[in-house]
Amino acid sequence: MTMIKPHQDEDDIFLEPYFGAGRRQQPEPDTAFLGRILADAEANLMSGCRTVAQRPAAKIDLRQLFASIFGGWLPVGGMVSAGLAGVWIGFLGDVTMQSYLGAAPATASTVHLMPDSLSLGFAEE
Amino acid sequence: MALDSNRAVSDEALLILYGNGDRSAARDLTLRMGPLAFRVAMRMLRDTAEAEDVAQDALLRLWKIAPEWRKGEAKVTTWLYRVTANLATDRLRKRRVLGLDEAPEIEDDSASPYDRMIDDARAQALQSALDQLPERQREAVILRHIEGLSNPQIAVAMETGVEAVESLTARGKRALTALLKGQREALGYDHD
Repeated sequence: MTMIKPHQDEDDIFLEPYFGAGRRQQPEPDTAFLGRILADAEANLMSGCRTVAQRPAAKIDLRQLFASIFGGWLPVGGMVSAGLAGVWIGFLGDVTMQSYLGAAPATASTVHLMPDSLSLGFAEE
Repeated sequence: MALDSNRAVSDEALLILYGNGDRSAARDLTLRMGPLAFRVAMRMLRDTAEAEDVAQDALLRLWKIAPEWRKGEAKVTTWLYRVTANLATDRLRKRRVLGLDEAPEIEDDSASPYDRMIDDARAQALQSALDQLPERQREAVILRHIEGLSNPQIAVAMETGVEAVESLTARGKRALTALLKGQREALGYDHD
């Protein structure tokens, strides 16, 4: 059935049955073609994933990493000096240390850092 | 479109989902856009293998631009019409193929055998007449009267102005009328 609209001219009126037939007989793709389209779409998704996976890893700058952990060469120098000093003292041992402490009094004395309970006014009853 | 699981989702939203890696969007877009691209290519080229190549190429471009697609930039179907029509036009310029016998025929079960015969004859006569139009006129007539696009949509698809589209369709219809009138009685048009 042909529907005629008010604004249609003679060509429209004549052609409408043909256009109607054309619309009803649209060429449709077969499933194999749609399968190829879908395969392309999925391959394109996968290639996107590969790009992400193959993205080169960022280069690690060892000097920068070292500096970020220890705070640079100057503090590391200090730490090495302190370490070597510790090793030296360990090797010299007790004998050498006694020579440094020789002038000190031989008897031990006790120093009370905390006042006893009496001096604080808590006499025992 | 019948097997489309995201019928409520717009083409644009599906394309953005696809651009974000959604595989189900790939399937639904294939079902929506594959037949559309194929129809336009087939109408213009009249050769199944070439139409499939062109439609596949157009859709490949759609898949590739999906990650950059910005909401509201363009209508997906209009974009696809434009790309498909441009690719088909390139093919036509290189090698024009007129294969009327290869046009697929789809049975319409609701019509009587006589009506179907008349419909087939009209569809073939229309396609034959369309093939004789200049490329731009044919493209405009197909998009307007077969695919049902509005003139502004066609203007975007054909990268021209609305007035130019109106002129192209008017001249195309005038030429089609002249070509088809000679066959009118033979096709049973007076029967309606």
